[in-house]
Amino acid sequence: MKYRMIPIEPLIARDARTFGSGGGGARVRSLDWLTQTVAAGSVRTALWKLTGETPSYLRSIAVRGPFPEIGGKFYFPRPLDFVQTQEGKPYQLLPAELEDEQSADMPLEGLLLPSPDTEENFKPQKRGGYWSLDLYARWLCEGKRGLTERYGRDGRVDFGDDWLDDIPKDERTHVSIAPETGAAGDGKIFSSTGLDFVHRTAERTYASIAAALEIDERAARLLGDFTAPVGGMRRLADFRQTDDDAAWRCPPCLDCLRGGDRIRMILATPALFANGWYPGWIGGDKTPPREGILPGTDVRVRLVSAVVGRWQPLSGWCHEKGRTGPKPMRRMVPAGSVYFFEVVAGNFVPDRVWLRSVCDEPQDRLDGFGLALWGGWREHK
Amino acid sequence: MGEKTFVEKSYWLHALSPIHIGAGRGLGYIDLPVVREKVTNWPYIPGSSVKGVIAAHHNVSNNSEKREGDARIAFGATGDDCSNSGSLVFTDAHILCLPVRSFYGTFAWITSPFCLERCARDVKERSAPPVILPDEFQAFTAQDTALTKEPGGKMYLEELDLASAFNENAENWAEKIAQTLFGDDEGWKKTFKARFAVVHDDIFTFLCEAGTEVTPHIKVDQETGAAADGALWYEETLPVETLLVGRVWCDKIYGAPEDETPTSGELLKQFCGSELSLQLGGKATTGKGHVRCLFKDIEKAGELHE
Repeated sequence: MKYRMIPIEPLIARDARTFGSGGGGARVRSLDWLTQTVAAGSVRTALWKLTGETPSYLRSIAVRGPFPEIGGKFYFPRPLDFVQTQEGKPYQLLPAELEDEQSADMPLEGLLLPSPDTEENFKPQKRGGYWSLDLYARWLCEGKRGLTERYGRDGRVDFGDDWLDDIPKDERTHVSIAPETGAAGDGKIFSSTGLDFVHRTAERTYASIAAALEIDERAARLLGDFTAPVGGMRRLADFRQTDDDAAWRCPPCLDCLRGGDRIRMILATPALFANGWYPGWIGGDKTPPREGILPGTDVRVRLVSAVVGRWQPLSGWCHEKGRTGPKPMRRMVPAGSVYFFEVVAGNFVPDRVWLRSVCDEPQDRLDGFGLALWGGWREHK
Repeated sequence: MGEKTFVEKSYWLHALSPIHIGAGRGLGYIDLPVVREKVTNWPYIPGSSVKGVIAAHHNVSNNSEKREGDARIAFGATGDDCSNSGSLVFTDAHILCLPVRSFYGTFAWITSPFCLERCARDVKERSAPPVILPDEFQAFTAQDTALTKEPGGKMYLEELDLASAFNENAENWAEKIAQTLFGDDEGWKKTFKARFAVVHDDIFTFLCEAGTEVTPHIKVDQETGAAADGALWYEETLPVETLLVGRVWCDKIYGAPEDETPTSGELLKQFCGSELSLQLGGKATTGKGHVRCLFKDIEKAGELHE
């Protein structure tokens, strides 16, 4: 069942750093977007509070998402194989063979270097944010050409409201009032940073940013519409069921990838793999030919190259009886990371794998990590 | 096993004296600004401020280690062996109507489409009138507005002049808010409706930045009876008559034997039942922060469907 989660106030997705109340104050920081365990944990905990279901059942509830959504328009983390010059000219990173006099410090021998499709030397713009599904579909299907045709202007691209910038962070200072003085207690000060889910629209008005989620059918039937705390400091969000499933369906234009021999896997949510950035299903020893079966398919692929962002921390707090306490910190492959594959055998059908998890562990898949978008790629010239 | 529903209420704040919820030291010409939202830059009241003040109102011990009974269930406790987060969760109070100077009618209760949209969401009011979008230099009013010289005439708010027009949805919103805040008091309801206006979000942002109350303060030197050297500062407050709205939600109830545990509904009724007179924020000894706090029932926040 599809849900729209509507935060009522800024939400905090903790970043694994410890928090204390020392004399110098302390900080509660937030990641740039809600992690999958924050969303899944909120849903499962809400169900436990209402029904007292067992931990093993709660862990088995599949939750996918969350993705930003504004007025029915869905967004996904921007792909890391898109780069832009400081002046706004767009380029695509594609796997490239190095020439004789060139070398690069690649993590594994034999992987191709992702390089911009230009001879121009430039320092790419630093910009995170999210792309609309429409924009993504063009990028996945046609690459740079799809963007310049639709969004191009004077050699630059202007994405308008198809590119949503990072969610702004709201910083607060908290004090504790000492009863005996009526003033702030000595050293009782800390700050918190939350994600403010308000967006300024092109019409110069404001709109709420919601988060699109999918919750498995039985749990959704039990829960219906509900309100629950999400993330740190028990900030609230409304969860409402919706029939709008546009984000979850593979765009029809991607049918062009069916049976293709070059496919691109882009992480729409951060992924957890057994071997860091390297998916376990490609072959555990990381040696060539680095082939494996795409999860949920019979398509055999060979890893050619990858554009992977810096790892992100994942932390959490376990409320299960007997296991209460902090969870060990893990490193996530960030959303937007891109893996380039060549199909070795089988018939690739994009809508069978669209927004399905590619993580190695079943629990990570149930939590919604590693949901992938799929596109094609062309040879570097 | 817990209850089969989550229970919640909306809470409405009506400022009876200026409110100063400080953001620390300001970087601009205002030394002590009020807290504001990141994106809109509109003032708000943090839920943590509201929760602490309501706990104090109910004479819940300020020393949270000593809290007992229902107060401990509602507001929590700290301590190495007894920490408990409490079941009542207060959201931030979002601004609904800001009073601003008006050439006609003395002052106006100004709101904007996004304020109304958030209000409908926060109080889960399914029968809320549709949200209306005025043009940038236009204001929608209820019938018999006091904010213009004649119907459809110019409205002057601070240094802005706006075209005004009657709008049925604005009338319905004015009626709804007036009924919530003033109940059977026909005089106040009429006063509110006559001063209610909906402006564009950008105009509302401007008024939130330029229309709050900023007062200079000095410290008098006891020796000379004159202002002390360098002891001049400016404080910002939300003006009297500001209206804000938020939500209080009751979590699963922890920390008490089953037979003595109140239900969520009972807990909300006990601590968030009747209208409260509260003091919110700083500068209490100079009369700041007095508010009426009203609680209204809203639909169930979550219900077990099987």
